[in-house]
Amino acid sequence: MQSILRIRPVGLALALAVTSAPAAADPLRYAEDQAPGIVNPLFTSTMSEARLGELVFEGLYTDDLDLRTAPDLAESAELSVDRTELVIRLRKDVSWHDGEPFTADDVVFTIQAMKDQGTASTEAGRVAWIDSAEVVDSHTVRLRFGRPEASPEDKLFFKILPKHRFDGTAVKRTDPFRNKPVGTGPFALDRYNDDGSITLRRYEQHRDAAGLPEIVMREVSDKNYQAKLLLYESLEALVRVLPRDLAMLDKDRGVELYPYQTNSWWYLGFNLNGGPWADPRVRQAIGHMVDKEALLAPIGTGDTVTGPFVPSSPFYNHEVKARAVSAGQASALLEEAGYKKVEGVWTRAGKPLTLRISAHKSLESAQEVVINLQSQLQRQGLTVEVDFMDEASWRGKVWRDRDFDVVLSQWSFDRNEDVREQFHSQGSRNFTGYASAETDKLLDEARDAIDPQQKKAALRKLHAQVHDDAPMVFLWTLDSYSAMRTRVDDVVVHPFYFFTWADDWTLD
Amino acid sequence: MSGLLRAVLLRAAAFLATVVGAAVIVQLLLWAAPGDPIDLLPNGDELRPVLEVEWGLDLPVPLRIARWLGHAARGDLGTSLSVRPGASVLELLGGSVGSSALLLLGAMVAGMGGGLALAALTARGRGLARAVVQVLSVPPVFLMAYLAVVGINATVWALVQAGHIAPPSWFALPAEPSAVRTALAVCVLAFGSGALGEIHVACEQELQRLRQAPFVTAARARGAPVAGLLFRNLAPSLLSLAAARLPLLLGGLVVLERVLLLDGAGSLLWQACTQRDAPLAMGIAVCAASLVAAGGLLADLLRLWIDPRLRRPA
Amino acid sequence: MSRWVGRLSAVVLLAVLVAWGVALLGGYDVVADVDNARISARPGTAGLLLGADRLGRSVGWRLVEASRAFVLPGLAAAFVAGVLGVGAGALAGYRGGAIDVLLRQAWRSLAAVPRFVLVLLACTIYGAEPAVLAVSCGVAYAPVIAEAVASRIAALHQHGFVLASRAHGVSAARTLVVHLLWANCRALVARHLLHVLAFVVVVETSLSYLGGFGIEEPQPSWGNMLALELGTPDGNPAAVLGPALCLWAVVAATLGAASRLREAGRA
Repeated sequence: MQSILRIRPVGLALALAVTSAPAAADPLRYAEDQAPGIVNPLFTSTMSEARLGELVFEGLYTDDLDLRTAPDLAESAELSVDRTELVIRLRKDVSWHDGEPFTADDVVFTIQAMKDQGTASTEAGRVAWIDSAEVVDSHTVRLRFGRPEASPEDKLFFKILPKHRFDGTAVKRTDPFRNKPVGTGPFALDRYNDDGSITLRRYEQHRDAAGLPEIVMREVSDKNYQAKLLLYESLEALVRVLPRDLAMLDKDRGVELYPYQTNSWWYLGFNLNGGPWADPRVRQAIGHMVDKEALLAPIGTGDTVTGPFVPSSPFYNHEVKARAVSAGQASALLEEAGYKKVEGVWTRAGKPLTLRISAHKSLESAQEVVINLQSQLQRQGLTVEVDFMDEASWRGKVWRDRDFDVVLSQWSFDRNEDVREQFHSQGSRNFTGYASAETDKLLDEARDAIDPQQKKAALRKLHAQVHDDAPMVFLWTLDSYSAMRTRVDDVVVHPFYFFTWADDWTLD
Repeated sequence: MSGLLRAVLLRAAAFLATVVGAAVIVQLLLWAAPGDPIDLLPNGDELRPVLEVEWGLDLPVPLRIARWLGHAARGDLGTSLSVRPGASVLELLGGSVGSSALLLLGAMVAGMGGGLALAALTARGRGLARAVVQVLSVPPVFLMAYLAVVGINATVWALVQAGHIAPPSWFALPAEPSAVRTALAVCVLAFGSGALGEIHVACEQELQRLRQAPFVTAARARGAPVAGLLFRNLAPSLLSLAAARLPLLLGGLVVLERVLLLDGAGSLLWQACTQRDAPLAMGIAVCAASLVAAGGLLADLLRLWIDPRLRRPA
Repeated sequence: MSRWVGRLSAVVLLAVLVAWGVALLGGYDVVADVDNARISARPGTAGLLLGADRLGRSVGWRLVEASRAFVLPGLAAAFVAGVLGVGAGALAGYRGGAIDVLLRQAWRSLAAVPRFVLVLLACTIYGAEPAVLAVSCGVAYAPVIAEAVASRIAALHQHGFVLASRAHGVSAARTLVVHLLWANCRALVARHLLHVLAFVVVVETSLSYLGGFGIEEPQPSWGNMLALELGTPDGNPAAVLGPALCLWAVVAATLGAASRLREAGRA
């Protein structure tokens, strides 16, 4: 079998020359770890679905190149004096991929479908603040909110769906739309290919026709291959480059790296629903034991953080200092909490302090961090077990049963950086069980603030509060890079959605 | 009843019993698990009310299995819950089985052909050749496939960078569907995980046994051609060998399709398992078992046809 | 030639047992060995013979420690396969009749499900524990042993020595166990048990490589060592070659030993 590879170079070259073909008019090919299961913005649950949705659909508003809110399907809007009503005038030069014109009915339908209990949309939370939506005329919509909003346009990024492709506002996951989506975006889904890839072609009737004629999404589930395929010109774009491949891609002159800053940070979340972690001194002690720089070094570069925002965020409180890596301080806190070091192991009432670190297998590099962390903590007298879970176990054990001690994970936020669901005592993503009246007050203050300065002040105080309470050890934000072949021009990459400005990209 | 008809009917009955038995075993695996099978699913809570009725969780296990068998007999293998929500299992299988079947067939032919050819060459030879073949075919399928892909890509890229050739249309493996990728897949599946070695040894033993058989010696003594005789007598054991290889090829297919990023039934099974899509996983497993049983039945029937002695009851 | 194969195989298998013993005796702490200063150290540097992996852990020690990942599960799988296979096969071959038909049908149904698929399903449903791996591999392989033992015993059943034994008043059980199984089937069963070991090693490494049903870190196994290092550009080559060669050697050795047993049996 191996002898096949030892054919003499000349013979091989001849054979290959015969089977090679010139590069045809080409698509931009990019890779995803997992192909989108459903191409319907109502049910987006993975980033690959969100990215594909970014090409096919549009929202009322979007980000401009300076990451400021700019109108997309909307043309202009008027906010009422009491800030509880927004009248939006829609563009008139927009049509769906099937030729139908875009109207106000589509906007109202989308909002109603997202709110409809029968749909059970994963995006329902994004329109919870809208009380009602009504059609004023064919291209005007009136939205009414429950409480005054400072800048409602910032929250109108969700994708609009065509009313005429659905029967009613209770949309099912199994609706055929999931594989035959119709949007208004610069690219239309053309076909699902035999090899599992998805081809999108440029929508010629778009008001701002794209530079690329075609985009192909390819599922490359093995991360070992992704960078190599880019190097070998089998792909033109890679959404996220693994830190270990950066050096290799940097050296290649045919590849360009695009750094971008995401609003995402890693953390160690404690289970405050009982057990030794309910005691803040124990949590703070562990905060003193974790050497973040040492954990970060093997997996990439980035900035350590002390709270629930990234350092470049306006809400980050730079006055909050990180807990020093100090065995002395950790010991003092643990002793205060009633633990004693017996033969090098922290124990209380005869039982050693045992920590189980749970991590999601699909979180890139999580395994290395957990193993490193286990080593660090065991050296300081804790007994540490590790538990790597796949998606199904994660949802079951962590979300449903709250069966964990410490979770290593990552939160990603869009431009709004709304951490309410994670830290409010009633938050839907607060699986750590953190509850603090002070934090709730600050979150409410931030939500209700009309003045952006007020919001900033409240969130900075929140940063300090959450750092002190330590329901999590805030770790770092990783430097992210995407990579493209140099043939792709005019590239600007959106830090969260990647393809927001893909209509400007061109291929040489 | 003639001996042939009786033999055929017996084997058909055994085939049915095997398929049903395999289905029962797969079902038992799921139902015998501790805890609630719905808990295994990622979106179990949403689907609980529907699934409790659909799977008959209020029934005792034997009745649940009987229900599933009844549905399956009517062609209803259930619907996928997490891989492609709402799609029928049969539809998903139908869409993915084509490319897998091609690979299986190719690997079967290549493996048996290669093993037989090697056996013919080495039957009289030293054990060295046999040992070498066995050692080379030992690496598991995933390792062989990965090393082959990396090796071929690196070699071709080096040639491209040196300016000797233009990048071929099938480059780089395994992203582009191409004849080269299929050929690589067939070779790895056919020869990996010790397959080539095992087939080689089995064929060699059979050949040796036959070469020493009295009727072969007699034919040679009379100057009659021996090759056709050998082959006709070898055929029944080759058929049994092929039928025995089928389950191993199916297992290797799951691994191979993941490593080479192929979109077939094996890859679908892997996704079903990692996403805990119980109906899809069970459906594919039972289909695989049916294929194995069918292969065995086919081999048996062909043997009956070739060798009349087998038609007489034992 | 095959004598050399046999000797080489025996040496490799002995080396594995020695490695297992060393690993059991301790001396290597799988958790404490992480060291950022030695990330991907090359062989011969940083005081390590085979260098270090991506987390700075000693490759050499991890290769030795990895024997624990499959020796015990492998032996357990062999035990399960042996007990089930020999038990079912002996009963079917000796008793014949309806019991034979029933048992054969049962294990043929089990054998129809491809072994890897069965193990994969078991790991999915019951969790990827070494115990689950061992039991499922053993159960999946049992039909092969059952078939072989049943054929051998059925063939020998009508021989003179069996009839003589029964006629002399030796119990059926003793005849079966001592005269048939032990005297005539032990080499056959031993060969198959070696195949079970090879099967466990291959299945575990495949599952680990593909993503996550194999032995979990920090306990090393050749599978998870490969999964960690394959595709790391600028990684320590020994971290990939080490587990790959060990895997190759152990599987080749078990198959070589099995083939030597078969040769010896015939000679």
